Amino acid sequence: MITMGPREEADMSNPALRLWRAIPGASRRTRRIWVVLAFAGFPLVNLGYLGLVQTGRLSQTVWAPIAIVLFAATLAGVFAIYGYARDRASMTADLDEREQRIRDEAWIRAYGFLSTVVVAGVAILVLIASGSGRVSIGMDVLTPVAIALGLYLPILPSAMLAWAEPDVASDDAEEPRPAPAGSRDA
Amino acid sequence: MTRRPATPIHNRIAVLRAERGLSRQDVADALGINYQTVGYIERGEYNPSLDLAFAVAEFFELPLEAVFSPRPFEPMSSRLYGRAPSDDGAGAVT
Repeated sequence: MITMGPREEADMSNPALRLWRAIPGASRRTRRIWVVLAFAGFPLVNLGYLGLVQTGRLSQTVWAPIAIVLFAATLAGVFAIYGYARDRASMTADLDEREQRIRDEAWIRAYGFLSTVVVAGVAILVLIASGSGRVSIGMDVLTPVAIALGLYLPILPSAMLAWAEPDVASDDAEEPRPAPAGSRDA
Repeated sequence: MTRRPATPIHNRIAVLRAERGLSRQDVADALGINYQTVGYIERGEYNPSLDLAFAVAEFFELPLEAVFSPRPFEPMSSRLYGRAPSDDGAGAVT
């Protein structure tokens, strides 16, 4: 029989702590939703503002709550991704050889994703420049790009880990479970 | 990510654990690895490095070839009693 001490009982009654502890057990489907929320929310806030509010199609009053919801979804996604990966995506984490391989693969995917985004961005700028002859980028574009870099770059390997890591096998889910005392014959 | 190896290394870790009444956590603690890694190796979903394979064999106090093999292991029952494994593979230990 498993008994809980006063500290464990206090922890279990704290919803925030319960949520934090439940995050690492999330299924891959749930984790992928977090990644989509994190990486789609902030760009949608900016694209929506540029495409709908600045062009006068939507008033700021209507757009504000939508933007708040999208940005909150981004922050929730980032929090969940960080809560899932914890320090497992860190290059200095104490991991075994399988975990190190998973982490290295996550970093390789992150670099691949980043390279694709950078190449696509430069290609778009080149296309615009070849059409109009010049490209001018104002602070209204640079500011969200800088925020996105600060928001997404640090969590990119963690997001790749959360996106790609398989679900815990059913026979692993029961662990850790120490063998009953006295049952060992070795 | 963590794709199943093209050529899985067969092992007897699950049988050896059961014989000794050890959980994956016990083995993992002794080897300094995550208990899930023990599960991945047992299921043939991860091929351990030579270092780790030797550490596992040493932990069970057996030669390497008694714990790991590139080919499926002969079932213990047929080895002990000379009984051929049943067609449906029931009770087969790999």
